[in-house]
Formats: sequence, structure tokens, C-alpha cells
Amino acid sequence: MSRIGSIVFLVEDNPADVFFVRTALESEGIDSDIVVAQDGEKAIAFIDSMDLDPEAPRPGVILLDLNLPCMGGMEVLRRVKKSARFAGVPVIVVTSSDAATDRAEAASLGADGYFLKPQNLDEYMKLGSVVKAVL
Amino acid sequence: MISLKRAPGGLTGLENLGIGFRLQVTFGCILLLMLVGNVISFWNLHEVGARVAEISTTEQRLAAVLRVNNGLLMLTNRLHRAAEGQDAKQFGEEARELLVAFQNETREATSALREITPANGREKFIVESLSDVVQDLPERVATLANLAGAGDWPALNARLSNQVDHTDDVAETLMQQADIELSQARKRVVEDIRRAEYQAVQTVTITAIFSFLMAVVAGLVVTRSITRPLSRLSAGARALAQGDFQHRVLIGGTNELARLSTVFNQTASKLDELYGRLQTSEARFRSLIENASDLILLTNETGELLYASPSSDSILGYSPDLLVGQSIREFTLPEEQSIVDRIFSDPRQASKNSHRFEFHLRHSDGSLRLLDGVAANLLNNSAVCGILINARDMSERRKAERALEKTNEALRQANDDLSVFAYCASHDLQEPIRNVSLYCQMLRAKYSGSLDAQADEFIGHVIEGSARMTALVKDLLAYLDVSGSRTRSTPTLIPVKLAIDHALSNLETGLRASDATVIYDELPAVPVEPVHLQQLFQNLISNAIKYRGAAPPRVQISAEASNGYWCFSVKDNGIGISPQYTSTVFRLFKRLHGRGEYPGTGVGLAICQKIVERNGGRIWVESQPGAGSDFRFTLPQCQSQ
Repeated sequence: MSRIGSIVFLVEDNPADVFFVRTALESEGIDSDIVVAQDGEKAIAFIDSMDLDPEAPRPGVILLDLNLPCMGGMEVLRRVKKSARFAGVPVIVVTSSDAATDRAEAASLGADGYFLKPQNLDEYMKLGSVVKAVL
Repeated sequence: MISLKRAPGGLTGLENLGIGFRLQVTFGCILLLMLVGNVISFWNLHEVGARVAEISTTEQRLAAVLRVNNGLLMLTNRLHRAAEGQDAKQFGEEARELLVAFQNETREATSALREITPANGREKFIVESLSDVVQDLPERVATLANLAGAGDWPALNARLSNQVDHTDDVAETLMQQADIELSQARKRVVEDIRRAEYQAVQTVTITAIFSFLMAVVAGLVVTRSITRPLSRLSAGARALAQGDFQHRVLIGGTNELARLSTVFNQTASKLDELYGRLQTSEARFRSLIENASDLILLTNETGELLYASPSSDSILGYSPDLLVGQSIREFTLPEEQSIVDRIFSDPRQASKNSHRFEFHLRHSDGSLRLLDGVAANLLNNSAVCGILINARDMSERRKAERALEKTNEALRQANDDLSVFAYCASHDLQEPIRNVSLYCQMLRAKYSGSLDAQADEFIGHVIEGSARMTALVKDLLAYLDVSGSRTRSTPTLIPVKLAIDHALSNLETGLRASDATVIYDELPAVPVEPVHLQQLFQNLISNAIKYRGAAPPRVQISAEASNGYWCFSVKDNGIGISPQYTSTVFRLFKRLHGRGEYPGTGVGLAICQKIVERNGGRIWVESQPGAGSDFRFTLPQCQSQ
């Protein structure tokens, strides 16, 4: 049974990255359910549906990729922070982009973290501790 | 064509005599003749004069004698009267008075009498007897007085009557003689005058004839020696005036006319030479204009064409003779009339730069030709008297320029597309590479030791390969980033010191690990994007650290101004570069060492070059193996267009 706050909402289109994130969380012992939305639109739809259902549990953290098909990650971030229920959920941007502009924009939109997808597996696994810190 | 006129052969020696001399001699002779004639006439007149003087002398002579004789007669008569009174005393007194009176009156005549040379014997006799009487007169008068005193009046009267008779005789004789002599003398004079007249006529006639002959001769001579050469000279002058500069006048001798002909010939040959030069010059300038590929037009102040160079054939499709007389406005566009007006209203003279203008002219085939030209106002230049238009057909060039621009634009577009493509491709490559790498790392984490050693090795290689790919792609992206990005606005001047400090902070770990020192003195500010400027110095300093020698790396950065640019120098004490590679080292991905020796993808210097060249500068390296490297590059001092 999912606990309130124990859902991890992952917005990511690359299955490999989904696997790696899952592995990272598991390696840190986080056993929350991971809900995956594969593009921005689906993510927004999920958020909207959650908004409408007062019973629906709130995710403990949103992991947000920026490079998404259809709607981009920044737009999702904006919508999340506008949402009544989701505004309070910590959002960690998980992206391969190291651009200063992206970092700045994410920060200005209220992201609570910025995780750069590394080349090194061990580095990747550190995502687990980052997520644990906010859960 | 040479026309020769030879002087007729003749008195060759005399030809050398001066014209003036000849004329002087001629007139001299004429004058001499006239003088001779005059002398002869004067001599004749002198003779006549002498004759007349002779008459005069004769007359004077006779007059003197007569005068004395008359005086005697009168005296005698008066004595007669005095004797009538028969008063001896009275007679004596009166006789004395009369004698004195007679002597007084006839003094001159008496003295003249003594000097006379009688003409003949009779005259001589008269004169002598008169002289005697005059001399004896006082005695005779005294005798008479005595007679009177004696009272012998009849004897007195008889004497007196004698004297009277005698005196009368003398008078008559003298008169007759005088008549004869005078008429003779007159006859002689008339003869002489006639003769003189005759001689004078002769003289005049001869003189006239001689003068006439002389004049004819002289005239002939003059004609020969003066007018013929003169006519030759004037023929020569006429020939010159008509443009025949080859005409020469030959006049022999060394007299004035010969000298004049020499001068004339010199002048003619000089004119010939000058004319030849003028023709050559004219031909040359004509051919310069006619062979010019530019269109050269000459118009009057209203735009009527006075001249068009042969290039009008190709540029306008009309031959020059079709254009002359037309107005240039026939060929210009209505909307460009203001440009045409400006050409004709521009008062600037040719000495100052005239306007450069572009205008269209209609070709005979209907197309428009774009011309780029200058106009010079030469209306006041007496050699030209018109407005000179020198124009170049720019239509082809304009077409070519436009084609070039299009090509450039297409090229730019293609370049942009390529950059964008390369960027996107590289960007999108990153993810799959990362995935491969991560999965392999997972494989290694999960299965190392479970598979055989070779499998472990293979997995290791795959991981290395992907890491390398990632690095390459990342660096390529960095390189493309520099070339792809457009300068959005003119960058402000960025102090180089700031960029270096940023770079140093990024390289902090490396700097500390290698114990490197970076020093610089005064450095300027340049109009380069701060990110690029930092990247530039970061790459260079990073290389200096990477390719260090045994000693701790020492980097010296300096700059000096030259020609509107800053010339930077980043000098290190590293391993140096062999001169044969100093140009290839800037190529993308070009490395001089294997991956095992020194890490890196070979993109650092390529990025530096891209940054420098984007900003209008140049980058090169001066280096020797083992002697460090001096990377030099130029950056502008201010933003250029």
C-alpha cells in the first residue's frame, strides 16, 4: 500500500534513465512507488487528475527531466509550482544539461534541487541520497 | 613632298653681296650721276655768271669814264658861264669852287679810272688822256684863271670851247664804244647762255637716260636679288600657313635673304617636328580614349552629346555617330532625372573631385545598364568645352555581386544549418552514449568476476570507449558552441584580467596539483564575449599545465598594442612544440601525443582559434621542443563592424 508521501513521481522519457533512477533509489533503500510519466503532457495530466481527487496521495518528491517530448520540463515545473497540491512537493531537476541558463531557470521557477546525470555509475547512485534527504 | 626652288645661276660672287650694299651702290651711282649733272650745270651757270660779271665790269668801266667825262663837261660849261661875267676875280673864285666840287663828285670815278684795264687801244687812249686831263686839271684851271686875270677873255673862252669839244668828242666816242662793247658782250653772254642751256639740256638728258638705265638695271638687279627670293619666301610662308611643313626655301649665298631663308627653313622643320609630335600625342590620347573600356561621353551644358567613345557600341548598343547630337536624357530613366540634373548643375571644376553617381542608361536592346561614373565640368577648359562623363558598366558586376550575395547567404544558411545539425546531433548523441556507458558500468558492477577475465576486459574497454565518446562529444559541442553562436550585440569591453581570474579559479585543482604559477602585468580590456574570453585563456593555461616539463609550470601573460589590435602572449615553460607542427596543432581533434601520454581530445586549441578568429584576430605559436611555447594571438582594441 502506498503511504502518503512515499510516491516518487518521475518525469522521464528515457527508459535507461528510469532504470538507473530506480536502481539509485533502491540502492539507498527507498522503497517508495515510482510513478513514471514519459512526457510533459502526461505529467500535467497526472498532476491535474491528482488535483481533482482529494483522496489521491501526494508524491513525496518529483524527479523532473528537462529534455522531454511534447511539453518541456520547465513548463511542467511551472505547472507543478502553480498547482495547489503539488506546490509544496520538492522538485529535483534530473537532467543531462549542465547549462547555466537551465540551472538558473530551474532555480527561478522554484526547483529544490538540480541533479546532473553523470557518466559515472557511482555518481549516478548518489541521486539516492539526494532524494532520501528530501523525503 | 618637298618643293625646291633654286636661285638662277648667275653672278655667284655678287650673290654674296648684301642686298643693302647692292641698293646703296645703285642709289649711290644714281646720285653720283645726278651730282655730275648738277656740277656740269653749275659750271655752265658759273660761266654765264662770269660772262654777266664781265658785262657788269665793262659797264662799270665805261660808266666811270663817262662819269669823269661828264663831270669835265659840266665843269667846262660852268666855267664858261662864269667867264661870261668877265670878272676875273669872281671867275677865279668860282673856278676854284667848281674844281673842288668836281674833284669831290668824281673822286670815286677818278680813282676807278686809274684802276681800269681798257678793253682795246682806243679805250686805252681815252682813258689815258682823261687821266691826264684830270691830273692836269688844277693846272689848267690855274691857266684859265691867269687868262681871266689878264683879261684875255677870248682866249679863255676858246680854251673852254676846246675842252668842251674835246670832252664832247670823248663822250661820243665813249658812247659809241660803249654801245659796241656792250652789244658784243651781250651777244657773247647770250651765246654763252644758249650754250649753257644746251649743255644743261644735254646733261639732264644724259643724266636722265643714265638714271633710267641704272634704274632699269638696278630694278632688274633688285628684282633678281630681292623680289625673287622674297616671292620664294612668301610662297614658303603660304605653304606653311596651309600646313605644308616640309616646304623648304633655298636661296643661295650668304646675304640677308639667304640668311632669312635659312631661318625660315629651320622654322619649317621645327614646325614639322612639333606637328609630328602633336599628331603622335593626339593619336596616342585618341587611342587611349577609344580603347578605354569605360564609356567616355562629352556633352554640352544642356546634355547634348558632342562625343562618345567607341565603347558606346558595347555598353549602349549604339555607335558613336548615332549618339552625337542626341540628348543624353533620351537614354536616362525619368526617375533618375534628378541625378542627371545634378551632373549638369554641378559647378565644380575638373580640378576638384566631381561627384560619383550611379545611373541607368537604356541599351539599344531595351535593357537597362547600370553605370557608375564621374562627371567633370570642363566647359571653361578651352581644349574641351564640355562636360566629361566617364562611366563604367556595373550591370555585370552588380549581377555578379548579387549572385555572390545570394551564394553567400545560401552558404551562411547552409553553415548555420550544419552548425545546428552538428550541435543537435552531438547533443542527442550524448544520451545514448551515456546510456551505453552506464549499462556497461552496471554490467561490470554486477558481473565482474562472474564472467571470464576477457569479458571483464571487454567491458572495461567498452566503458573506456564510451567515456571517450562522451568527452569527444562534449568538446565538440563546446567547439560548435563557439562557432554557432551569433553575436547578439556589440560586447562591451571585458577586462582580460577578469577572464583570466575566472579561468584560474576553474583550474584551481590542476594549478595547485602541479604547483603552477601564472603571472601577468598590465592587461587591457577587449570587446569579446566574457565566456569566450575565459574559455580562451582557460584552454591555454590548462595546456600549459598539462604539457609541462620537469619544472613546475610557469605561465607569463602579456599584451602590447599594435595597429588597433592587442597582441597577447601566453608563454609557458613546458615541453614545447616542434616547428613543423606549429600550424597543425590548431586543427580540430589534432593531437601530437597519444592518449596514453597526455589526456585530451585535441579540441582545446581549435576552440581558441575559433574564438580569436571570430573576433577578427589571428593566433599562432612560436615554440621549440624543450624550450616552452609562446602562444600569440591578436584581439581588436575596439568593436569593429
